[in-house]
Amino acid sequence: MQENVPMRMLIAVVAVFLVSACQVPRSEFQLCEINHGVFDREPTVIDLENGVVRGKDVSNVMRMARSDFVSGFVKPFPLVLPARPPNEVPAQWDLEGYHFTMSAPRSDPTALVLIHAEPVRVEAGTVPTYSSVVFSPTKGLLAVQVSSHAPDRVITMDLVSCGTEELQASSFH
Amino acid sequence: MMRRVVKDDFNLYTYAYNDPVNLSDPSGLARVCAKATGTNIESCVGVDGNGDGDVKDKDLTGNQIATLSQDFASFITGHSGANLSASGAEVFGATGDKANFIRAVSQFVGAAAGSGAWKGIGIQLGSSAEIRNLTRDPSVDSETRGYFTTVNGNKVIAINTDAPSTFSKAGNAARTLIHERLHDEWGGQALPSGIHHQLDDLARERLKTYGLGSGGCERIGGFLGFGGYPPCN
Repeated sequence: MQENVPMRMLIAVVAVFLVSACQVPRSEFQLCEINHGVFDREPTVIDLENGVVRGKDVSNVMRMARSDFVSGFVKPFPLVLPARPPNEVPAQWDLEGYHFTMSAPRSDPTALVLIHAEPVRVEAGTVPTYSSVVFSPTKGLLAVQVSSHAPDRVITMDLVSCGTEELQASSFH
Repeated sequence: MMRRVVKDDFNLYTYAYNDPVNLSDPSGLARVCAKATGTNIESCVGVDGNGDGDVKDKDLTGNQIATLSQDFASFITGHSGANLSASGAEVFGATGDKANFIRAVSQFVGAAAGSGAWKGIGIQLGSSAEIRNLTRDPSVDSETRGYFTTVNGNKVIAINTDAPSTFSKAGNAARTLIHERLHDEWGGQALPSGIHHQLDDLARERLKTYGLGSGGCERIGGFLGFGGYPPCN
């Protein structure tokens, strides 16, 4: 038994290393695109600790947005989540240059919520961005569709939670 | 140099940005003053900070001059006599050959893409570690040739000086610059690789349209068809 001690210690060290290496910091939330039937290898990362949204060779500083009933950000794309039970959130509101519309069954506070965002006005020379968020009061952000209307094309991304962490309104605090 | 970018008082526009012909960089990071003369740009891309475009200062190495001349031969022929001085983006960061190489390439891209191609965009050179610090992205490594980000509200294209392929062929550097510039045209969003490769394909198309070659590395399809690219060389 004595000679097993170093082996046990080694196994313990390796186990601790693997567990720590596999853990995603709670301040990071990953959104995946379904690509050819599997999660994309390059997730979009919402990095709350550094206040940026990252992708492959791109990062953008978030512009946070908050009201009495939602929390989130509006740059680089609008993504706000209910900070209260959905039946206590109005059906429409304006925040930081965006008009939001929320659709949710009023009878069931745990039902899925759809939040659509569009710019109140489009400035010349800018690329307006629209989003539609699917949110579960019990499971957090499930999916978001982001559409950027560039001059010569519309770039639409359908992103789903990679399942690493739940993104809730409280995550932004 | 990279660290100063993240200071709160850094502003790309306060520094010789709108008058690239007449202003020089007091720190020695002079603008390239390139002028196409037909088939030979040897006498056009050297700089010494005074913007006269002479060659005696040997601001670019012989290999770089040969690379630029060879890779951009058709472009130079088609733009004989054009003054490219105001066509480049402001370049910050690493000094020396790589910075001057990127300056010269950005001028060709700017001249090909038309006026305003670099409006509001600065180019920052830095190592992988410096770009990780700039972008707060831990995934940046020597495979990351370019990066589009914003610093204090200013648009910045970061060019990785640790990616050797970028500096081995002018077309490679041009492709990276166009790729990152397209990120801005597409709204600056993070793009999943399923969409990202479309952007890279478009960068290559534009490169060919501009008469600047193909950029070296064609897409051949990676694992199970997820856009994979061989290293540029």
